[in-house]
Amino acid sequence: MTPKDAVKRMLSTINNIRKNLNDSLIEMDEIYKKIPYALEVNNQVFYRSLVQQNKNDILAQIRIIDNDIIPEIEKTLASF
Amino acid sequence: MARFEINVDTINEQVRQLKSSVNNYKSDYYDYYNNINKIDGAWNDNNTSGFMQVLSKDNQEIIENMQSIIECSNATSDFITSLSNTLSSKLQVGKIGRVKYDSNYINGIIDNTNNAIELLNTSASQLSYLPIPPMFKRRDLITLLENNLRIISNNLTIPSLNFEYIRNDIEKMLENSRIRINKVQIQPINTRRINYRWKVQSANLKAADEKTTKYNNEINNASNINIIASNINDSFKQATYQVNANNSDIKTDNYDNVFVNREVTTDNSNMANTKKYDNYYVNGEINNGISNEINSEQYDNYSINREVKDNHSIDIDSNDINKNVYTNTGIVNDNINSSVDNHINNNYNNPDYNHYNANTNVQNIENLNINGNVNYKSTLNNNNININTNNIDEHSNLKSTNISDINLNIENNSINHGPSEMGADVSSFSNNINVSNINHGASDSNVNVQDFNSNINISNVNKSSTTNPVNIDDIFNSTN
Repeated sequence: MTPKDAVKRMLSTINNIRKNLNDSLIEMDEIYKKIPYALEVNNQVFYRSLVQQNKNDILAQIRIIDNDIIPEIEKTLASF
Repeated sequence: MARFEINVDTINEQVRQLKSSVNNYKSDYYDYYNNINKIDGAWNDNNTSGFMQVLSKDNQEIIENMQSIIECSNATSDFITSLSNTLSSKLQVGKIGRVKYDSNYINGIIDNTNNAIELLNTSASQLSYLPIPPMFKRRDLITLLENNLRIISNNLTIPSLNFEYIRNDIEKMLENSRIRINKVQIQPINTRRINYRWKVQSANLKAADEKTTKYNNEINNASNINIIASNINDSFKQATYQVNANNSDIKTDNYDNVFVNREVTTDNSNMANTKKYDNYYVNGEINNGISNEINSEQYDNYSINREVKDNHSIDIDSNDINKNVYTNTGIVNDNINSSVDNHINNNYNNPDYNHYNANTNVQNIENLNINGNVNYKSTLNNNNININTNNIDEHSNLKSTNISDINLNIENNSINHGPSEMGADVSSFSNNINVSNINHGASDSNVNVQDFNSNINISNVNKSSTTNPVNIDDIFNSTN
């Protein structure tokens, strides 16, 4: 495997991870929507805030991939 | 997958039918029971002994059957209430109607959460094994991403575990509900049978003392009279009234509060419609003058019982006590703490209040004897506290006492010191007394009104004509 192939493989893996994170976001949305309204209000708030925080964290990681990691990989690729 | 569906309306209807059956039975039972006692009291003929034995046997059978119905009804009702409350608190359902639970719903939440966790962990693992070429300079970004994904994954386990707990809790509750449903058995009972068999309404009661006593004893010995606990009907009221009126040694130890209170209902029609059990009890006991004999230890919440017990000198007229004293939730001679306005009218003679802390409107108390800390926090509207010198002489505490912290906020009232006998000294060693409108009645001679006090505000002190001067010493801030 040439160095260029290795970097391409890394890019592929990162893209796969990004897709996983997108799927996780979809799951989070499902969790968020299904939190029962019949729960005590405090619990509803707690769970929703928890899920929302996790969504935000995942989004932050996607932004790291999109804004930092992928450009860096592409920059590396371009250097070959 | 747990699925549960129950039509609460249907079960509630069953409970209603059960209770209706019980109530009908109670009514019949009581009529019958009352008649038994009438017969028992009136019948002295030896030829009727067999008849009476049959009656007694039937009576016991009724009691047992009725208790069974009541237990069945209560169990069903409790179950419905418990089920409805629990489900409605956990699910978005009402308490009446069709209650549904499908674990697919909450299982979906749990599955989504676990899927998200798995995806995050997979991604993190892929990152940790990612072959990073040496020329890739931002290796720290990959490490940071991996760490963050694992943190998010860990955070997600909290709602996942909690939702699993909720699911398990609901399903456990449903399982318990099923068990309880299976235990409920409705026992049909022919509630009319007894009335068909015995027509004893026309029995004549003779007013002989012996028979009256016998009648009462029968009532007392009927330990299950407390079955008649609700839907008091006319015959019941009448019968219980007789019991209380004639009998002074009713033993209530074996009855719980509710039943006893209802049992002692008087013929007061208003009381018959109220749900305040303590009213029933109070009125019943007081009306019939048997308070001294009541064993009221178990009725702590119904203060009047204790009150009566501990203060035999209190003579309370039944008409007034009906609505007035039940709100006292303390014990005279100890503490009366009441957040509710009490209206004690007219009928206290010589009560002793050692500790009286009550927001109370007290009217027309005669010969009030106060020992200790007294806080009348409420206004005493339109009252007359009459303190006569004769009484003061008899109750030395009023003549000379160490009362502290008396706050009498009196509006439109007067404290009348009646005519004093010669040489009577009225003195009080008190602090913080606010008294207005003090009228000293005409005195014979040499009456010394002394207040060895501080912080006393006395206004409108009127002295009626006296044959000799009245000395008022040490009055601070007095206005006249």
